[in-house]
Amino acid sequence: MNILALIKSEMLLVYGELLRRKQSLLIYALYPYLMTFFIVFIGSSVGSLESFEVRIGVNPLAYLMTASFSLFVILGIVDDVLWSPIYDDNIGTLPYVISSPTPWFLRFLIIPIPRLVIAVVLGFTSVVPLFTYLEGLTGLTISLVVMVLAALAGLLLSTFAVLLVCSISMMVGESWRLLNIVRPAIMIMLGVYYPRFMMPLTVQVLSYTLPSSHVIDLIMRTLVSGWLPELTMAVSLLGVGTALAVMYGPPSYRASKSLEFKKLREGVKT
Amino acid sequence: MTEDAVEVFNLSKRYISRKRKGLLRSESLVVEALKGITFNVRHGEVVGLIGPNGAGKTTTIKIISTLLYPDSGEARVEGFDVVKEASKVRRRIGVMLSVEKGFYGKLTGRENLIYFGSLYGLSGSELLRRVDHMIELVGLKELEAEDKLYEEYSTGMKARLSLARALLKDPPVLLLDEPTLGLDPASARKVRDLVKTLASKEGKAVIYTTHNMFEAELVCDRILLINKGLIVASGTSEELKNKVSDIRTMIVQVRKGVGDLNAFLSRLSEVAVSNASVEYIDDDLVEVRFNVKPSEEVLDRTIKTITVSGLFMNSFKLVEPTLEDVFIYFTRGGPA
Repeated sequence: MNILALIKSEMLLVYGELLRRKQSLLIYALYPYLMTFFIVFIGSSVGSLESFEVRIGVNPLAYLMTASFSLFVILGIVDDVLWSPIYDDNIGTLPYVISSPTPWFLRFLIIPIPRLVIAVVLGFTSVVPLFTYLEGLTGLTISLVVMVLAALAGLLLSTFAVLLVCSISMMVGESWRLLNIVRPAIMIMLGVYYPRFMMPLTVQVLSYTLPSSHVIDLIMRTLVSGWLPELTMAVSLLGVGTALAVMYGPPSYRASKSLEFKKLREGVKT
Repeated sequence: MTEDAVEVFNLSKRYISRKRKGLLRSESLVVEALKGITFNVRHGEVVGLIGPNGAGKTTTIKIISTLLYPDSGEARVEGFDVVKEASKVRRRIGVMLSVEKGFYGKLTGRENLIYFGSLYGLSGSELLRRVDHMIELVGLKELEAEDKLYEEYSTGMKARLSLARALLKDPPVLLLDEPTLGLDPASARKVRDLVKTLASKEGKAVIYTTHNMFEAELVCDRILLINKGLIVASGTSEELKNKVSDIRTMIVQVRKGVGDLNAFLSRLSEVAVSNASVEYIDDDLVEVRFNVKPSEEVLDRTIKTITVSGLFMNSFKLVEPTLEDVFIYFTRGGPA
């Protein structure tokens, strides 16, 4: 199995669909701005930008843009893993995907890569210009670090996303409505908008189980310190995130096999 | 490698669904899609699976293409079990399940083939070479359709692309589920010719389902008539016709609106060995077609039944049964 060829063909599919739907591309580029301005608007009506800066220690625009960008990158993974089988089922491509020799689990891991690449590259239209505008060369450096870390946060969520999506699909069936439950839960637990140290204890514990939340923590610490993170802390947070992602590998593989078994027992819709 | 490309032994499958009965209650519905079918397909042979809707054709194709687990029995592709060695089977089969869907609309035909080719384990120049070859082979190049978006394709183009995908990795076994459904005559002929050539020249084993008897006779080396999950007859089209050598097809044309056609049809069960099919020829004439075991007595009783029903008979013919008549005999009436 040529993994590179699989990634290339997945890119062909995603970019073909995206570039031929210009509105989607526009929404992609605008997403971090829309989220930032929406939250700033709501937040300003109940508090002030200054009190946010005092409490969190970061410029709210920079913080929220980073949070929106990171969330955009990470949720793309969850959306792709959940959407792809449902989409394939709807348009009738699922039987051909399943009857191919490519293992389902491998495909689950490969599916989000093209969109992850786009999402990260779109950092050049969101975090990079804003940080450079606010803090000059230092801002540019930080924004580039943020982009790399966001990509890593996205990648580290893959195995967890497969486990989550396959497990829920096994229990309640596949439905796009699952996104309505999964997205907000992950959004909160990641700590992108709501820093981990401010979470209630239970949510904080749950947040620690998400591989990407540790990378998000690192991103937020970078923002608060205003410069590149301390090496020991960076390595330990990335280490914990990576270890968790690897740990989720075997159960997510088993979950994908169980879902495949369930589908084959019921019969793939043709 | 075994001589048989596909071996199916005593394959059974039941579907269980729930039927709602009010707000809180529901009951299980069991449908026996396959009741222990056994057959084989050799390399270079086109075997037709023919049967009415719900007979079990698609279920059989799904099981062989590793898309459905059987309840019991075995299916093997080139010696590999479809359940226990699914990944090996998947490398050996090309599947065409639907003419109308199964591709990504925003990709061109060529891009779709590249996408599925890499899923099937092809890569680099070999992938591109195979894609180009398939585009040429199925006639998409002569239609200048290879670089059109799939969503702009006609049904004929979709069918050709679907066949191209099934052939992409050059599999020894092809599973084609109603590959000419909804196609215009030219496209249907192209698909049929291609299938015949692939079997005879390249030695591919083909399982071909269709409702079209003319097509089955033309394409298939052997035909399996399947009804209610059982293979009710098998053989070449000539062998099948010989199996009902004592049967003739009676074609009676009567005037429309004269007499009681329904009464005639219900009385026919006394003489016919299959259900009758009724076709309205034009504004005036109705053609009733049914199978009988011809004898003087049967002919007398048929004419009597026509007279008793008050019908005005325009013409009356006794002909050799076609494959369609054989099909109707086995699937609707069946051997007595």
